[in-house]
Amino acid sequence: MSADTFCLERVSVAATNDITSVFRTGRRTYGQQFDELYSQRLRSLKPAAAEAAEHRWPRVQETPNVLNVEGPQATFIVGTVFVDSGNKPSTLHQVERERWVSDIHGEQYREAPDTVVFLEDESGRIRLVGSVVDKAILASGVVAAVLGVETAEGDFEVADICFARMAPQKPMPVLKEDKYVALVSGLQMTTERPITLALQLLAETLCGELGALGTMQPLAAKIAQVVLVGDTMQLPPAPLGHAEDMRVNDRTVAAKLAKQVDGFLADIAANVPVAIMPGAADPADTSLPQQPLPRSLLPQCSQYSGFSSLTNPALLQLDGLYLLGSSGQNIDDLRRYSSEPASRLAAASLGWRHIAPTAPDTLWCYPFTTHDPFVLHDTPHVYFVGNQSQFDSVVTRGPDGQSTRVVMIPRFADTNQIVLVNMRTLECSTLEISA
Amino acid sequence: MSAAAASELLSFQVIQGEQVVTYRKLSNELQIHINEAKRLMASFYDDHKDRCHATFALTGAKKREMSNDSLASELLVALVKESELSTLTNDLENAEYHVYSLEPRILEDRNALVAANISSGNMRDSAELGAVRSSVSLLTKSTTVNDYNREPEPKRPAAAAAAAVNQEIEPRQSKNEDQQAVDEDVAMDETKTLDIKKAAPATTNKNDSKSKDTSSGATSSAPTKAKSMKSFFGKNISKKPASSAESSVKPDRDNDIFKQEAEKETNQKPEQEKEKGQADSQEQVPESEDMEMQSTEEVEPPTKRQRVEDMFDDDDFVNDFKSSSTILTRDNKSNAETKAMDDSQQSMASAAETQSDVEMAEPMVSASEDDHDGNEKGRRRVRKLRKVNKIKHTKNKRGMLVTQTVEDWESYFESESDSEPAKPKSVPGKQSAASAEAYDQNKTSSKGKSKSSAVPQRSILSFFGKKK
Repeated sequence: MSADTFCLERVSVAATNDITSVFRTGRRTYGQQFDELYSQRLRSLKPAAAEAAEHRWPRVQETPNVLNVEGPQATFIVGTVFVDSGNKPSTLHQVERERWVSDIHGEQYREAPDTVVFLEDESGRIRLVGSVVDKAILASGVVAAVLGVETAEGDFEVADICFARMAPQKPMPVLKEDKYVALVSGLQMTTERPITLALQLLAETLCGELGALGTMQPLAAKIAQVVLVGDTMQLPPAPLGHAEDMRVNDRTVAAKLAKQVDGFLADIAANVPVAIMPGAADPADTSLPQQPLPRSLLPQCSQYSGFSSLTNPALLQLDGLYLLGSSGQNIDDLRRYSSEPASRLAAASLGWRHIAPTAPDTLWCYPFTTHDPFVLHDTPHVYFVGNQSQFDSVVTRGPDGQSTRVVMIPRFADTNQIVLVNMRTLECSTLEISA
Repeated sequence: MSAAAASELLSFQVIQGEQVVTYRKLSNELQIHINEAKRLMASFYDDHKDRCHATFALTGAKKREMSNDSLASELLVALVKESELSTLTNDLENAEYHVYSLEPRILEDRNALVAANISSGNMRDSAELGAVRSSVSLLTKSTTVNDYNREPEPKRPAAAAAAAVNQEIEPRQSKNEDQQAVDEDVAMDETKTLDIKKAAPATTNKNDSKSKDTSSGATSSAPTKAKSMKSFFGKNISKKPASSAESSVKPDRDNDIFKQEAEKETNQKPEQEKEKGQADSQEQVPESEDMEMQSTEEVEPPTKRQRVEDMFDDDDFVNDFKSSSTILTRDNKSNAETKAMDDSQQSMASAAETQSDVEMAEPMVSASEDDHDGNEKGRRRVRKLRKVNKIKHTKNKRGMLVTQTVEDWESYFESESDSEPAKPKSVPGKQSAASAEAYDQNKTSSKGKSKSSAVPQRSILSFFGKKK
């Protein structure tokens, strides 16, 4: 009988609430242009890129302005990469078509025949040519240092490319016991069928109700934090129409779905700290960084002390462990610039010190003027990306001993899988629900 | 003891009642620990294997040949039938299973389990029966949460004034539904639905620290209650007054409106039904907005049109509606005249008319007495109303501009004796009289109708004029 009433204590972590998020925009104005964002980005990353370049190519002279490149001498220049391609979404094309299509799928930007890669800085831009450029993982907005010579046509033939490399990292905390972070992505609760059996089983597993006392329930007790990484709700696409049309602005559908999601998540939130990040399909901003879902959207969850609503991307801190999370829009856009696997692109973006370099070019984002929030000044210990097609994880290392576990979280609605990250060892496990 | 109760309940519900019973349901009904419920179900199933069927929850780690850097282990939680149990158990390490549910026959469609789980109640309500103790606590009003959403919201004295304005105009009811669509703010709709939604959990959870119940009035605003909702257009709307540091006048005004709207909402909800309350608050909102606009616009004109709907919110439109809507509901003719005057003041009439209207106000006051503006002897000017077609611009439900001609009452001045033949040769007397007649003339000519249509009938012989 005593085994039947035994209650396990759930592990707890130090509060994550005192991270002030650089991704909050506060009151927004749209009177400014995006050039400020680019110049802030270049200003933040140019010193690091130049330093990395000097380290890599010791005796080469830097040309301060890209337009001043001249002569047969090899030199390196630092600037922002810009990929110009016919496949990129163009407002002119959108205007030509009758209906405005909100996003373009699937086309690889760099595979268009008229793709050109430039390097830009405040003075101007110069075209980059060479096989090195074609093979490199590059995207618009990446700050890079390129080594090469000027060609006869005035282009820059590239011999080597290097980036700012990983930012300094705080030391990894030493934990005495295994604690897990459960990363759940893409629940995609729909209006037709919000609650499915798989979701119910997931909730029961996370709360420790399902499972026997031998393994599963103790494992559930070790889950210290649950993060919902985007696309918790799957709203039907809104009909196109005038802004004041009643049909377009019918938010009762979203409100009803939010209520059901709230009731479902409150069960989990009552038992374990839950953090929710908005995703592409959630009722949240379209442009990055997405602001936190209002707590009033999930009132029952908000009653619990462990519930927090995060931005996308978001930075968490659990017991000294730093995790950077994204709901996937930035990586999905990077995948249009390169056919490399998503985990490699995420690892590369850590090397670029910028998690969303394609913003604002092909990824919508807010026109910041004072800083570029996507620049990484510190490398996190874990970088997780949600709403991917399958699980993947790599460890990427930096020049000064930095080490980051990159985790790609599959969509729960497609794969019925969640990811458990061990905070002590940074090892990942998947948990699959088979209903 | 509980074993007997369990088997009694299970035999009643599963075997006789032909229902699906999950372990959670059993635990909830008998108020026993879930692990005990699982055990009891297993023993019941062992005794009654012929009469019911069980679904098992199997957990374990998938067997993997080599260790992988990216993946430490692949865990599996599966619902299986008894027949599959043994085969799957072999494929897993650390496999464990327990009874998940009991049903009268094999479940072809597992959606029945979804329904059964929903009917078992919430896990949070029976948390004391769970196997893992919660590491979070329920927030009370006193505890605060350092939240990413939190923004400081100091009180504003304007809020109190706005509340006072709100109280004054509350009794006024406008019945014209069509014109609501113009001023009905999309965001207000959002706050309304959220407010209604909040009322439901607020009743069930008394210590809801995030309750939006603003019955305590405009003055109370604990900083923790800050929620910044965004209107459809990305602007922050705060239920409580927002921080005044960066806000321009326009957002202030909006916040006032929304706050008033919220207050009206909560004031009315306890008294009226939800639909009626919605209709009322909808109707009152345009008027409150109207009042707000008139008061603040004089103080400081808005510098930026931050919301798209504001771009449509011309004063002309709004005041046109308001005054014209009140015309139709007022019975008092003199009031109607006043309103008609206001209406004609603000409608898209020419400047000359406007000027004459202002001057008409004076004779209006002393209409009965007076000869002082009569330009001819024996002529007394009488203020009358006549029906006339006016052009109105409205916005329909889809936000499109619609032009309609509607009948409307309009005031005009008329001499007691024959005014029409005398009009063309009006002697320039006092300025007001001339302009008043010019106004009448304009009205006459613009309508293209003779005045005789609106003149009350006199002797038919008057048709023949003074020659008689």
